[in-house]
Amino acid sequence: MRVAIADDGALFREGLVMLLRAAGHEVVGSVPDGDKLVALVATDPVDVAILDIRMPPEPDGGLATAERVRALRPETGLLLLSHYAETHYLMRVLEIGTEGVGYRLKEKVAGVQVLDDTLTRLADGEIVIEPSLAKRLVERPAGGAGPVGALSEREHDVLRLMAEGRTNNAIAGELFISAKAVEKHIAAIFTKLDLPGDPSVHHRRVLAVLAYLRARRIDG
Amino acid sequence: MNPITRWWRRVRTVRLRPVDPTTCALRRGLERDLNDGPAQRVAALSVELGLLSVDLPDNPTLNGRIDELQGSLAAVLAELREIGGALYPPVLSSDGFEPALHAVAERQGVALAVHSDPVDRATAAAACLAVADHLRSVPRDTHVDVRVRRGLGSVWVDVTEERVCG
Repeated sequence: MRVAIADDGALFREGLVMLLRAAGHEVVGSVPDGDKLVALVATDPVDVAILDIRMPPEPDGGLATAERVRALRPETGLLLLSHYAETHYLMRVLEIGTEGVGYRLKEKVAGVQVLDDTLTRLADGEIVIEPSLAKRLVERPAGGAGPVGALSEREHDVLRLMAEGRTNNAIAGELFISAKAVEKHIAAIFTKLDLPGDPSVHHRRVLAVLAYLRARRIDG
Repeated sequence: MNPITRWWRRVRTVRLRPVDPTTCALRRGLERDLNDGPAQRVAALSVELGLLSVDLPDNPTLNGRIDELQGSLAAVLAELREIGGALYPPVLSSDGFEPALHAVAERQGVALAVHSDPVDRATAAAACLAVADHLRSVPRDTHVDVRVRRGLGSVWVDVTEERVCG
């Protein structure tokens, strides 16, 4: 895959370049800020652009740059990296686009396998969400009250993986159950949480799940 | 027979002082140093370990230990993140007062409503830090109402907390 990286932290950026090359990807460019990345992808299209959220132009260069890249090259996958897993940033990432966008913690993409998996999912148009953030969002309230508390253990696992942006097949693989069983669990979750939309359309499903979980966290 | 359920609402209001400008600047600088220095270095170390793993194919024992080390580094970063977020919420730097307070409340599991008179950026940051510090001591599932009011030459930050106890 053809990849470009923008991050003002040279140490991390150069390490990631080597890791990407070791994984067999072609690193088209490695630059320290958003403006240089936009110039780069304008002349030399890439499959996925990797951007640090906190880089020049300040204060949130990664997000602003990702928007520009999406406008310029809508088919380019966007992976936003940060030191912080914040719901607020996740929502801003999803405002940029709902296909082929990802938000992950920097240290969590430090392996060839996870990096490969993340890039493949982005190139396939999936939404990729930091698992620790998804986990925090689906946490059951104290005392197990409310609709999320009413989900079975298995349904709760499926909800968490949906919030990571995982597809049915990936969820089935992760939980060692059949794709049919996953579909059944998802239908049950959508009924119990009274979620709108068609659970078979990937990005709509992720958005419905996230909107629900976020409202639950904020409104109590 | 129905069990008798007892519940009561506990409401209290506290008035907070906005954090003084020197402390605001200091805290913002420290968070930035933490993010650009140690956090960046530790994340880069984790990438180094990932590379080491590539150079050691077919060695499950060493690869397992590398995985463990990466897990330990992730734990260090989680701790740095806690400290950084407490010093200066990252969303405050990028998106300002209200989104930052909602981000802090979300982490604490607190429901939050914010009403604010228009105030300048520095004042908003000072009020935000005071409320963020306070939210860290508020129990989960509390409803918190924040009011920022501009008086004559000063700014008041009133925080009303409501808990349903039962």
